[in-house]
Amino acid sequence: MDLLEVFAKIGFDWKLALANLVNFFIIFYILKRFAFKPIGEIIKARQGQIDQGLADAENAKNAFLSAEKEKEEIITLSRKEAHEIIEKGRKQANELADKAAKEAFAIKNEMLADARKTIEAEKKEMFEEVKENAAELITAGVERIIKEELPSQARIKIPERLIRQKQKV
Amino acid sequence: MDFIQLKRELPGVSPEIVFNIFGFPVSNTFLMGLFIIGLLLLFALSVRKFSVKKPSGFQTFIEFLYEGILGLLDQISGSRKMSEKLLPLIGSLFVYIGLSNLIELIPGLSNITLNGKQIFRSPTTDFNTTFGLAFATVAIIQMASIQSWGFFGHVGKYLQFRRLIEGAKNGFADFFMAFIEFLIGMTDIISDVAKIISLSFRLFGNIYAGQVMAIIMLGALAYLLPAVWSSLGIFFGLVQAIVFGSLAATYFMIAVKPEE
Repeated sequence: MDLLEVFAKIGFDWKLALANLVNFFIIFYILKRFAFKPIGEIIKARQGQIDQGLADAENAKNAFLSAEKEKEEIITLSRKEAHEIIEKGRKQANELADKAAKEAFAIKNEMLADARKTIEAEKKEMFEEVKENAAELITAGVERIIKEELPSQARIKIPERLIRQKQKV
Repeated sequence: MDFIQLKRELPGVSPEIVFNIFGFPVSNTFLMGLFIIGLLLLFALSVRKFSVKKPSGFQTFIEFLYEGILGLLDQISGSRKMSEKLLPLIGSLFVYIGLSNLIELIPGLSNITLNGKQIFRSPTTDFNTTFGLAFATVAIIQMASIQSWGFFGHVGKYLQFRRLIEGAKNGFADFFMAFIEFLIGMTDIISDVAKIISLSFRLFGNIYAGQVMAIIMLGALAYLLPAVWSSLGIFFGLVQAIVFGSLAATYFMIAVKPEE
């Protein structure tokens, strides 16, 4: 029994086979054109949206992490700067205080020196004045004593003795 | 009244010719094929309403099937790009064979008759349909091979005259090897023709035998087995669709250039 006989026994008819072949090609075209292609496009479009969403989420996450990092850096930098400013202020304050103290000390010394000078001058002047007044008073007193108490001889000898003593000095 | 009646006898191997159009026979399996085309047209119309953002339950199911077929093809082809190229052919085979095998499970559909003749019969129980499917599959694979290798490259796979001439130049040993390769190329022609026979007989034999078995089993144990047998029918129907599609995908991958 050859193959064609077997075909005939199981009802092979080339016309029916051809009709079924055409039938399948129609189905192939309908499914390819109107089903598989649009379904594939829909799935790809959705996958694109999902990928885009995931990429956006990843970007947002990265941006958030970047912002967090930047915030931390800014806070650290600010703390560092604040610390530096405080240290600098403290240093400047100390320097100013030292300077002020030094200036005050210098002014005090200057004032003390001036006061000393003034006192010295006034003392000197006072001494001079006292000296002058004392000489006059002594002279007047001596003159009075001499006039009232000493005899006329003695009046002559005492000035001479004084002149000699003065000349010795 | 013989328009609608229940059919109980075993189906014949040959399909029943319901009527003729200009001498062209129209069988009940062909009518069922047209009915399936109508269903697929309705499906194609429904695809236009598919949404990217808010898929319905039906759309989700269809996309699940789509991804399932692509996943199966990925295992055979090894690349998503190739799977997408294979999908229209293999997907069409899977849908058509799957629907053909399962549609008879719709109660009463196969019992509708016209003038005592059954109008609808599963297309895959008809050898003409399985032969047509196998022939179309091999023809599409041959076209893909020509597209991939070029016409002379494709013919050169079978008739390796160039290899024979090169072998003759390189001495007896190489000529002997070239001659063997030439013979292998010639047997590949037989092999490709045999693919049509193999694919068509495998599908026809499985589905037809399954249907005969179902009728025998249901006749013998009508009150015990229907649910079990119907479940097995669904399973075997889908398995046969997967087997046919997988074989076609494998033949396709062998036919085209490996780097594609």
